[in-house]
Parts: sequence; C-alpha cells; structure tokens
Amino acid sequence: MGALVLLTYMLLNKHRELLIDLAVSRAAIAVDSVRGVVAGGYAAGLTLPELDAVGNLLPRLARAEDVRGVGVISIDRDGAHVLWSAGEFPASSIPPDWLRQTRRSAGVWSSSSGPLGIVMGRRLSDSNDEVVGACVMLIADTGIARQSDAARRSMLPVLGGAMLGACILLPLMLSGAARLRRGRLSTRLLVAALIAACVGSAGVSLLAVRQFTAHIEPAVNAKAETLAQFVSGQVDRALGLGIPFEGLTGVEAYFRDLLAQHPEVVQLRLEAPGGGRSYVLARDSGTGIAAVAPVGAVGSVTAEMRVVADAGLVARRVWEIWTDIAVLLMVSVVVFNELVSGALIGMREAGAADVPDVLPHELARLRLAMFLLILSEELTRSFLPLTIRDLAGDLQTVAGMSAISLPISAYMLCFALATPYGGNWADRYGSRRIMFVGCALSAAGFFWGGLDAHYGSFVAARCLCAAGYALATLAAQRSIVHQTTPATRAQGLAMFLGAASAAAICGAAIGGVLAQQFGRQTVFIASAAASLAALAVASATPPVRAAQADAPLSIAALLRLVVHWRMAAIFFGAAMPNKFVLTGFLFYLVPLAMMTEGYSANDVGRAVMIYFLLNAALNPLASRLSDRYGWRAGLVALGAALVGAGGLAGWWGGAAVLYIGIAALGAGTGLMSAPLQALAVEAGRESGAPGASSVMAALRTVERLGAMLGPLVLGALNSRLDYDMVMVVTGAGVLACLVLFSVAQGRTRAAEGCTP
Amino acid sequence: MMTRNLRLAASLLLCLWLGTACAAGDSPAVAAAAGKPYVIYMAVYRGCEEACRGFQDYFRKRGIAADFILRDAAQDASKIPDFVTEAKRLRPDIVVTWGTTVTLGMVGNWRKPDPARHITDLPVIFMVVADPVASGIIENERSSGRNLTGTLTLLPMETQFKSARSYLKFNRVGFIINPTEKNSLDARDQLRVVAEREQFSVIERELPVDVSGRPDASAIPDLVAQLVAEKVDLIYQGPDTFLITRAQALTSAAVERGIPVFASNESPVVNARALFGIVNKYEDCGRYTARQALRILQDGVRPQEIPIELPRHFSYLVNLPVALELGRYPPLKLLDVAEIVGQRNLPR
Repeated sequence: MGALVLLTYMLLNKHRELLIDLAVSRAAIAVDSVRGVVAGGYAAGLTLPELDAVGNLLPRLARAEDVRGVGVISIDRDGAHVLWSAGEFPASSIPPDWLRQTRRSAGVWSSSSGPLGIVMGRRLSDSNDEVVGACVMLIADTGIARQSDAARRSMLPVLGGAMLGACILLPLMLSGAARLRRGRLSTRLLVAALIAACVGSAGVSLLAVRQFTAHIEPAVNAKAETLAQFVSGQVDRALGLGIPFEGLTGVEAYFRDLLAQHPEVVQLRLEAPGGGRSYVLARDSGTGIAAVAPVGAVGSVTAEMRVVADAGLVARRVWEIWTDIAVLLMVSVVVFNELVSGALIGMREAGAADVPDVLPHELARLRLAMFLLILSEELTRSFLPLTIRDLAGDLQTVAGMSAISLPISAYMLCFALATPYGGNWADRYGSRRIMFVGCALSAAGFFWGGLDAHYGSFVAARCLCAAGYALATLAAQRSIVHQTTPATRAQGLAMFLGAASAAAICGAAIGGVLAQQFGRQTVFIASAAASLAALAVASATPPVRAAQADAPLSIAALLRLVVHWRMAAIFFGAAMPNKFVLTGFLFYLVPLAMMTEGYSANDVGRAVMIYFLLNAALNPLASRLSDRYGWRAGLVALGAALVGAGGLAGWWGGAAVLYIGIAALGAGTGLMSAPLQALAVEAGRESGAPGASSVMAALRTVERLGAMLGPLVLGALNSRLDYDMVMVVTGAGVLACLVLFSVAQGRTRAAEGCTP
Repeated sequence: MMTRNLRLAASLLLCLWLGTACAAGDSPAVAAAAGKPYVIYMAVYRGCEEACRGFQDYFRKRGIAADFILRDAAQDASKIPDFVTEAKRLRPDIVVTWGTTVTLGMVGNWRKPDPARHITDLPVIFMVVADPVASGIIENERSSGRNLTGTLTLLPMETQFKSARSYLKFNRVGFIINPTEKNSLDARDQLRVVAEREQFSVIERELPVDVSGRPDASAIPDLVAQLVAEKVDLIYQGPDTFLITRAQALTSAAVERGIPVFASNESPVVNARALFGIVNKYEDCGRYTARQALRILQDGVRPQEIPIELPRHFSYLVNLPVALELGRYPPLKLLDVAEIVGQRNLPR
C-alpha cells in the first residue's frame, strides 16, 4: 500500500517536473535572443544600459502565452537593479537568489520553489566575459498547476481503485497461499504479495502514461514551434548575408548541438520548398509531430525549417522511472518478508501453525531488529560521499587525509574501537540492554547528522552512529552465538547476514530514490526513525539466557590470537582485505566515480544493490555447503579470488568496470563470509583461543581495521590515479593476500595430514 | 584616530604646498575627491587611431570627466623627449603611451630608467606594444616593478590557429617572412612550434631584400603564386608592419588564386582582402587600457600591482565579400560569434 502511494506521488512529481522543464527550455530559446543582442552590443562598444534594443525586445517576449513577465537586470559593483521589464516583474527588490544563481551558473538556471513561482534566468556578460546582468523570465505556472491538478485528480481514483483492489486481492491471495500445501509458507505469502504489488503498480503506471500524454504533448509541440522559429531566424540571417542556400556550411554541427540541448526533439530538417538541397539531422529512433517555420518573409519564402518533437517522450519518461518502481516493489517485498517472519513467530507461539524449527525462534525477532538497524545505516549509503563532499566545500584535505574519505574512515575507526566492548558488555549487562543503547546512539547520530550542516559535527554524528551500530550488532551476534550449537552456528550467522543483506539490498537503493524525491536530509531523518523502530523491536526480545560467559577479550588476548600464524593468515589474508575493498571501493570509490561519470544518487543506489543482491543470493548457499561438507578454506579462497579478479577488471577502463567490480565483490563476499567466520572459530579453537565469541570479536576488530583503512588508502590512491587504475591496484593487493592465505591453509592441511 | 587624522591633514597641506613633490599615486585621489576632471596625457605615434579613440570613448560613455592632452609624434621619434619634459611640467593624473617606440622613449628600459630623461614619478600605462618584455619595457608580465603598467595586444598564435579551425580545415599553411623585421622572424619561429602542436605543415617563402637592405614589395604576388603552387590551404599574414601596410597586394594576389588569407591583425581583414582573423581590435585594446587606467585613478591601485594582460575578448572578423567571392562561407555556428566585415545590404 505504502509502495503504491509512493509510486503515485513519484509519477505526479515527474509529471510536474516534465512540464516545468519544457516551459523553462522553451523560455530559454527566447532569452537566447536577448543574450545575442547584448553580445552584439558589447562587440560594438555599447554597454548594457545603453542597449535600448534589449528594452524594446522585452514586450514582445512578455506577450508569449506562458510568460508572466520578463526583465533585464544590471549587475555591477554597486549592486543590482532592474533596467527594463515587461509584464509582471519585481520593480525594486531583486531576490538575492537570482543574483546568486546568475553568478554561479554559466548557462540557464531555473527555480520553482520560490514565492514568485517558476523563474528562469540567464546571465548576460560583457566582452571580457564578466557578468554585467541577467535576463530573468517569470513563467506562468497556472497552466502547469492546472495540468498538475488535473493529473492529480485523475490519478487519485486510479490509486484508490488500485488500493481497494489490493485490499481485496491481498487477503484472498494470502489465505489461498496459506492453504496451499506446497513450498514454504513464507515463500508462498511472499509470492502472493509480490503478485498483488506488481498488478497494482502496473495498473497505476499504465493509466498514468495515458493521462500524462494528453497534458504534455501540447507543451512539447509548443516548444518545437519555438525552436523552429528560432532556427529559421538564424538561417534567414545567413541567407541575408548573401550566403546561398546550397552553400550553407556547418548546418549539421549546428543541428547536432541543438539536438544535444533539446532532448525532446528527434529531427531537424531544413529544406527548400521546391526540392533541391536539404539538411537533415535525426536521432536514431523516435517519430512525432512536426512544427514548421518558413525562412524568409511572407511571399519570398526560401526554405522551410521543420522541427520534429518526440511523440513517445512521455511514455519514455514514465518508463524511465520503472527502475525506481522495481526498487520500490522489491523493498516492499523484503519488508513484507521480514514482517511475515515476525507474524509467523507470533502464530507459532500461539500454536496456530506447524512451523519447522531449526533455530530458536527468539532469533527471528532479533533478525527484524537487526534488519531495521542495518536498514537505517544503508539508507544513506548511495549519497554519503556526495553529502560529505558538499559539506567539505573547499576543504580538500584534513590533517593530510582526503576530506571525503576521512568521515568514512572515522566511522570505521569508531566501529573498530566499539567492537570489543559490544561483546563484552553484552555478556556483562545482557545483550538486549546493549542493543537498546546501540540503537539509541545510532538514532541520535542520524538526527544530528540530518539537522546539522557542518563538516566537523557531521563527522562526530557519524562516529556516534558507528558506535551505536557496533554495540548493537555485536550484542546481537553474541545472542546468536549463545543460542546456537556448533552445528547450526554457520546457519545462525547466515540468518544474521541474511537480515543484513536484506536491509542492504533495499537500503541503498530506496535511499537513492528517496533522496532524489525528498532530499537527502529527509533520508537522514528516515534513518533515525528506522533506528528507533529497531530499538522498539529489540526491547521486545526476551533477555538471552545467561550463558556461560567467555572471558572478555583483552588486547593481549587479541594480540595472541592475531600473531598465531593460522589466525593471522585468515585475518590478514582474507578477512581484512575483503572489508578493505568493501568500504574503500564500494562505499567510497563507487559513489564518487559514478558521479564523475554522470550518474545520479539513484543509479549509485541501484549499483550498490547489485553487491547486496549477489551477496544475499550466494550467502545461504555457501553457508549450507560450509556446514554440510566442511568446505571452508576452499570457498574463502574462491571468494577472495573473485574479488581480486573484479578489481583487475579495472584495466579495461570505463564505467562498466565499476559494475563488474561490484558484482565480483558481491559474489565473492557472498561465497566467503559465512565459511570465513566458521573457519575462524574452528582455527581459534585449535589455536587455544578463550572462546568462540572472543574469536568473533577479534575477527570483527581486524575486519573493522581493514574497513577503516579502505577509504583512506583508496582516497590517497585516487588522488594520484584514475578510479579504474585504483581498482587494478586494489585487486592485485587482494590476490597477493590470497596467496598468503592459501600457503597457510596448505600448511594446515599438511600438518593435519589431510590429502589436498 | 585623532593622530591619524592630523597626520592626513598635515600631509594634504604639505602636498598642496609642495605641489610636485608629492607621491604620484596621491594626485588622482585628490582630483577625484575635488570632483575635478582627470588630467590624462596621451602620447601617440601615428595620430589618435582606434586604440586612442577607444580609450577616450570609455571615459566618455561612462560620463567620467577627463581632460585629454593629446601629443602625436607623427612617426618621428625625435619628438618624444619633448613629451617627457612637458608631462613632467604639467603633472597629469596619468600618462598613456601608444606603441613600442613612444613607450620606450617615455619610460626607458626597465634595467636602467633615467629619472632625468624618463618619466618615473607619474603613473604610466602603455598600449599597443607588440612584445613589452622583448623590447625591454618590463621584465615580466606579472608586474613592471615600477610606476608603470600596460596592456597586451597580440593574441597567442596557438589560440589563433585553434580558433581558425572552427571556420576552415587546413593542413598546409603558407607564410611569407620579412627578414628585415624581428617581428616577422619571431612569428616564423612561433609558427613552427604551433604547427607541430596543431599538426599542420608550414610552407615558408622569404621576401627578397634590395641592395639598400629594404624588402622588395614587388615580389609579393610572385611569392604568393609560389605558395599556391605548393598547394597551401591558407596563407597566414603575421604581425610585421611592412607586410601589414602592403596587405592589399598580398591578400589580392591570394584571393585571385582562390586561396584565403588568415590575418593576425585587424587591418588586413578590415582594410584589405584577408578572409578572416582572430584579433584583438585596437579599439577594444584602448577600452581595456582605459579600464585598467581607472583602477589606478578611481580605486587607487598602484600601477606595479596591475599585471600586464591581454583583453580577454577577441574578435572573430570575417570579410564577407571575400567569403562570398571564394565561396568559403562561414559555418552557421560561427555566425553567432563572428563580426561580419563589409556586410552588403541585400534586398530581402
């Protein structure tokens, strides 16, 4: 239901955005003529206030149908004032935002959030390219508002219908699914929910396309007409200079620029009426309605300029957000799955259903709490480096480290520092209490991070989140270790990782979508809310039975573990490099590199999702293989080899290698993480470690160290190398560590007398 | 505060009494404070041409009151010492010098300026100097290190050729060297470097010199014919004065053989038949120099604090009649930025 409402909101927003874009780009063509006159004037030695021609031009521009008013502002050392205006235009107080935008953007700027409605402007420069003023146009938004209202009115019944349908359909399908005796109950319910969600959102989207086409098509046509007139004016000028029509040069290059500037235009055609030479440039695909403007005066038309606008524009724009819709669907399904798991526990507790029990059922509620907490952490993932970059402003380095990688590393450092305490405190004070504290710290960190806009305090807020996250997850892991037997431990941990993956899969992706629609700050607040929800669920878990507490892990014990060659090989040959790549590559390098390649937060979220999807898909399989056949070292080596190979793919360059790297990292991590934990616990036991949880704590500490170093090292490398070469270096490093791991494993096998 | 005001008042009184003994930088501020017009001494070499007019226009258009004292050497360098004496006596707010000869005569070489023969205690600004570093007027373009600043005129050759490619494609460029002028030899050396970087080849021909050591202008059409026979796509007309004054002969010979001429200066495009040129118009240089002069006069910036710079704007001049005659029409995109020279008023 929530997904359907969000989907409708996104579609309506898209509709309005599209109408505004069209109105602004159409106005920009008119404003270009003012810029042309000013440039010509300065070339002839006149200054802006002397250019009366501009003043004479404005009333004509203001008469256009969707223009409320237009004005030319002069900007000099003494300030800004309106030189000429026509229609509705602020006479004296010029909004400071206009001046800021004019100074900042070399081309066209627009804003639709101020009290004056939709405003677009373009800077005017003198012959030394210094800003002397701006031409600002107020665009009538009555038409846009009317059309948006109409769209809203027509969408609401559709949404209501879809929701009603879902309300009727969902219980029917769920009860039907529950009665079916094939497959697992949760899977059946999931499939039923998925079908209901798909049908609902497909219905809403299909109807939206039809509704929008009716509104947006006239706007697209109007723009095509304006463009045709503008180009015909340019051609007319060339012919006026005496250049023959057949001798026009550079038409194709000129058309190519226009097509690049106006994405809704699919074809530009300039031709003499009676046949003869014609100039055509068209996109590969797309057909539509043509706007025609004659070149030359009435009675002596020498040519015709034809601009064809894309008829399928609306449909394409709406289908573009289908990827967002898919993300939304998946998120709703994952959340639904988590809730169903919770509900099934309730049913089982009431003796209402016969659910096979392998793991203690307390763990399922714990899983939900972990899911929510990790979700809060992942929501901001796709845009975190971008937020840091914006906050850092001109700050390039802090204490010799890249200003962008520092907060990520500080986060990881706090995580590493808090890790040993998480397990110990959980033993001493009870894991529920520590989880409670952890969730509260995390929520506070997100609130602070969302409210404050200073680099320093943002770093502090991130550290708070890290400490909370570390305490809560370690306490949860502690719970799992206590409540499982060695035989079911890998499965128990896989369940925990499953929750982490589920949250991570939807977290980054939905976070990207939400940030695009509502702004980054809102996502921070949503993260805080998710942490609070985790807190609520965690407080409802029963306190874990007092287990035989392991001796707390001291620094000395940690060092003893780490220096043991077998543990060292596992820690530094596999565990640490993997986390190093995860934070350095996926959390730091990928968002920045994708942004450089022109991708949005949305795209980054989806790319990060690939990692979590593959991780989640392979993780249960690897943990089963590990538990059933004892394949541990082999799976770890295979996973690390994949991660290393993914890094080497950077050699070929281009944005595609980022995706290859992400996929390899996801698959590799999925294969190695559960066997790695089991392998470490086993090796710890053989090396005389005080207990399983101290090995886990040592493993986490070493992993956090890697995670902390990742962004720092890759940040430093990235300041000297391109991102693809950074990938290659990282991949080579992972493979070198793998050699260390393999040699040590070979020695272990030889010592145990196993056949290789 | 009181002490500071007293000191200011005392120094103003001292200025009025001592008259000429005051630091030069103070006088414009005093003139502005009193609302009097600025007194500007302009020493030029061949009359008040475009740059000189551009300079004066800049003041006029902005309604800034200024009295211009114009002195023309009329291409006679022996008059310059008189200008120095007169300027020292009149004590204008600023001295403007035009061209290398006048500027060197008024301010001397930067290594050994002579306060007796040169102006050292008045702010001076120069314009239309082809290479102020090579001619010894300044040590470098960052700062003159003395009571002097100025503006550059010639656009870097690499910029010219890069911009030329938006009009024409060319692989072979013809160039006529005038061995008697350093300007021409410098341009040849630069052209060789730019050609390598921009990947075109240069075909060079040298003007013959007669017994008296003067270049022979009558050889120009023949040299052009030789370049055309070498299948050049374009002839580059450099900044040397001798060929610029004979631009008509050079450009006509080229156009008659169907080859466009690309000029480094305004004059061959505007006054002869060069097809195009990417130039700093002298008028723009004059206006830009006026802007820099106002920084000294109005804002009280010291001349040595103003780097010697090129106006950032340049003009893409296209000679329309020649374009039509050669059938080398400017591309549509270029028409937005080009300044059309010799535009016909076609009945349309």
